[in-house]
Amino acid sequence: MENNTASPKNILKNPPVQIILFGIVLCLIQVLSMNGVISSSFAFALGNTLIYAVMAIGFCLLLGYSGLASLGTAGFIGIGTYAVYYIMQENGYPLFLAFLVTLGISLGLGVVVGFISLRIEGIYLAILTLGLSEIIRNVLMAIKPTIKLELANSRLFGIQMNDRVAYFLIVIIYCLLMWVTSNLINSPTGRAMVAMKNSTSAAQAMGISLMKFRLMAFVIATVYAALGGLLYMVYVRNLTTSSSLLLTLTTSLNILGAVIIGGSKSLWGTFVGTFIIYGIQSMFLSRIPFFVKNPAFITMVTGVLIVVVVMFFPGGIAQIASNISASFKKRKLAGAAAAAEEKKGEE
Amino acid sequence: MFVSFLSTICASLLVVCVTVMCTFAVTLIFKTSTTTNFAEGSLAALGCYVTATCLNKYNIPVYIGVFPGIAVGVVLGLLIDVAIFRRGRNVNAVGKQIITMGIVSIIFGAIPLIFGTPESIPFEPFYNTKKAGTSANFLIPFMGGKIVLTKHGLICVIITVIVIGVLFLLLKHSKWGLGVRCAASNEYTAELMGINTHVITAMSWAIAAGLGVLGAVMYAGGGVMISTSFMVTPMVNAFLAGILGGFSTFYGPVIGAIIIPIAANAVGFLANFPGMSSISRWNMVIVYAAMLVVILIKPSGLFGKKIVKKV
Amino acid sequence: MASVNYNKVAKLRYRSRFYDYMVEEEGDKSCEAAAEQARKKLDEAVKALPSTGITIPDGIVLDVQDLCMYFGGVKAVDGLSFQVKEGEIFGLIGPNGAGKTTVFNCITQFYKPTSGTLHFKNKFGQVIDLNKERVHDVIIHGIVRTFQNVEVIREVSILDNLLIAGHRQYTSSLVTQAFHLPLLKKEEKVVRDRALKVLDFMGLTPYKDFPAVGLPYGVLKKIEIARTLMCDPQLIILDEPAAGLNDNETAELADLIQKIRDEYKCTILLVEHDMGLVMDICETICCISFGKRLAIGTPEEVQADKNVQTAYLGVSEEE
Repeated sequence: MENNTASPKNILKNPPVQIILFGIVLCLIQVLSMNGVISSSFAFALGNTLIYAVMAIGFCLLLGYSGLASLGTAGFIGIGTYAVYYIMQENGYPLFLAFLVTLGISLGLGVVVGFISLRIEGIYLAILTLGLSEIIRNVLMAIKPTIKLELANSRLFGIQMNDRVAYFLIVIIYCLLMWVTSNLINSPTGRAMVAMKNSTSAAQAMGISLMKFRLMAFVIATVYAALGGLLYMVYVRNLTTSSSLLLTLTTSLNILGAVIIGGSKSLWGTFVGTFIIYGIQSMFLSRIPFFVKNPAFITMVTGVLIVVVVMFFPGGIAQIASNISASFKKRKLAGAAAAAEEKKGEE
Repeated sequence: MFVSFLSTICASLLVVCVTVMCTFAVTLIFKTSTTTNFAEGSLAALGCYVTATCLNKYNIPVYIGVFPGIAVGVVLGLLIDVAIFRRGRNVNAVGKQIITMGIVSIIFGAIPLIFGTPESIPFEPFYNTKKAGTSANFLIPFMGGKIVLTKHGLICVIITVIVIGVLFLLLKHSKWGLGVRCAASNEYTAELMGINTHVITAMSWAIAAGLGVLGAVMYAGGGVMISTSFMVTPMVNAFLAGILGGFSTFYGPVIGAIIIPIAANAVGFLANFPGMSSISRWNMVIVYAAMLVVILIKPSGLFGKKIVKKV
Repeated sequence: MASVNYNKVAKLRYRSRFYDYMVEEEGDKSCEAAAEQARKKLDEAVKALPSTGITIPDGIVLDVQDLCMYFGGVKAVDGLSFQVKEGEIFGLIGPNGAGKTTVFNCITQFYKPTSGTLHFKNKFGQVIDLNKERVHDVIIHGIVRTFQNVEVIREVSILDNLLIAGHRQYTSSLVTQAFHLPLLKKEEKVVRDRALKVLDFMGLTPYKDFPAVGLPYGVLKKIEIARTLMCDPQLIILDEPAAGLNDNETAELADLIQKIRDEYKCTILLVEHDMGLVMDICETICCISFGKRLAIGTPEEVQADKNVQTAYLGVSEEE
């Protein structure tokens, strides 16, 4: 692996350090908003964006690394939101139990979808997961069309979870998942997933079990999405399933879009992508008087942005960043290869 | 009982027509541009808004008002293909999906800008009962009971049969149809064989958008409230119908599109039995779940062909 | 199920080898006790393996008997039998569509044969029935293959391609991987070192950080072979290694294949259309046509065979 010499530049290149720094910055924004330096609606919108970013991390692993397309994210989010409602609001149990239940259900669901993915592939799989998501949404809607979590029932270790406390919880979970996922990506598991994405036959010949890694990819994506739903419910505290877009195809597509725009193989890209789709609207554009008067323009701007990024930067925003550094690196590599060829010729 | 069951089935005819229109459109795009066109629903909605404006602002009857709507849809469809898809040919399949999603966002933003955001938009069915002053339904005596059939629904069925019939004939016998089938099986070979795939895809987008608008106008005429997202459900059903029937043929998805709404109504009919009254809340769940099982058993769809990859 | 046992043994074997490497190459004294323990555990596990009750003659590594593979009515392979001796280079030849690749796919379990037996002497000295193994478990017994239409993982670098081939050699659990615990970091270093050695052996070192996309065909073919070497193979199966190579590259490949056999002490089974290459390097050749065996023997015997000459008439003019 990389030799970790202690020079400050190398420490900054270390993923855990980057993630911790990012987490500190995110927390600082909330602290500043508590002191009135930044408006509280800005911080709230950022928290909201982070929730979607949590879902996007899992989707990044699924699409970018395992090459499996899913449109079921919305349904999985629903699991988390309703688990919170039934466990915390209806029965008054603590958040931790809701967390365990969410984990359990989404794990099971992930396994089911994983098995489906062994039989059906590509766009067909995407549409099928869309069907599954619709089933979940319809079931949830039939059970209870509107759910609301009272602030008094929202507690973690005895602390009342108002949206400021919930914000810190979101940041912690986000950073933790970023770290775990980046570790997985840079380990045999991540490489096995990329192998599976590129060539199933080569992967199998190299001893990679398709079943194991497809299940794993779907379980991770499902659990992250459900966790996102859980965080959403704790943070926003109410959801009208019948009229809200949260559990519909729109959310699934937005998460997919966020991952593609950010660069499907870049974890930091997923944040940038989510920020473009969810963050820019609520945090910046909604402050400009023109857009406040015509909110429809915001939707249009997002749409145009999506089309432009996908058309001209197929690798997403991350590609623009890596293109710049790669152009230097490639020159170096080409030089090394040429030197080696020359040497061979001399012999 | 049986008669009221038939009435229930007849009540689903309108939705069948709308789903068939959407499904054919989605399949056409899937085959020529290898992507799932999520913008189909919002394109259709936009066209429907145009028609609604014609009806309400200029008092044009729906039979004429539908054409400006279709025209707008066709032009937009062409525009999307020429301006976006033709330029982004090396974008992969998922990228194309995202582009159509971006188009959805643009249209979602554009509709309130152009048409405002009224509470509800009055719309006119193909058979206007107010003007004719007669009942909106046919009552067909059958086995001692009466089957209820809306006149609007019947007209929609006739239109759908004619339009889809003509399209199937075109696919089978016209030069364009041959081109579509060829481009669907291998775009590059089609190009090498001298088929102008640009024209083929552009025409497919135009036809798909037009079909969508026609479907939306039928749907709205049946009494559904128009909104930016009112065509999302038929579109989702269209995709599901596509994989239920199998995207590898054209007739498969259409049959899938006929099955889904009828099955949904048939399941809903069970509510008439004692103790089953709550089933109407669950009917879509049951239909989707059943469909999922069918697809798991037959992954290439009911009428699909299986393609085996060689290693 | 048989493969579960083997999985465990394979894992123990890799763990033992990992500690040995840490002690010998890295000079890590703290691993000595662990190395000793791992070796003991491995020995016990190998001893505890249940006998499969299958025997094959001495010196034979792969025994194919009456192999049949039907696709519907098409008999791609029809009652084929041959035996591959330990340490030899075995060539499988035949006209287009003779079923050569299908034989390979059966051996590596990409297809489950319609009937017939495939017996293989694995790395633990046991004779196993390959038909009972799952496709991704074949590798732990020591069978690795390349593909006719080069299946290199295009998205990642050459070095990562080799690390993917070393996938089964990691013994870290998912938790270890998720939190990058020290064991994973050490294992990563060991496998990476081995990959670098293989790259050096194949003369691919200058390319190691290149993404696999856009490299010349010859290099891609070499990467595939390098990948098989990563899996410390017992039997390497090469599917048309010389297809698409020019004369120079083919000559180089012939040397390379022999070098691999000598260096890695393995058996090589190859399908090839380039008769020059096959006649040069193979010790035994089996010629098949329409899924049936025409002839088997040394290159001279096969060349002299009447049936083979008939089947190859079109090609022999060109030779």
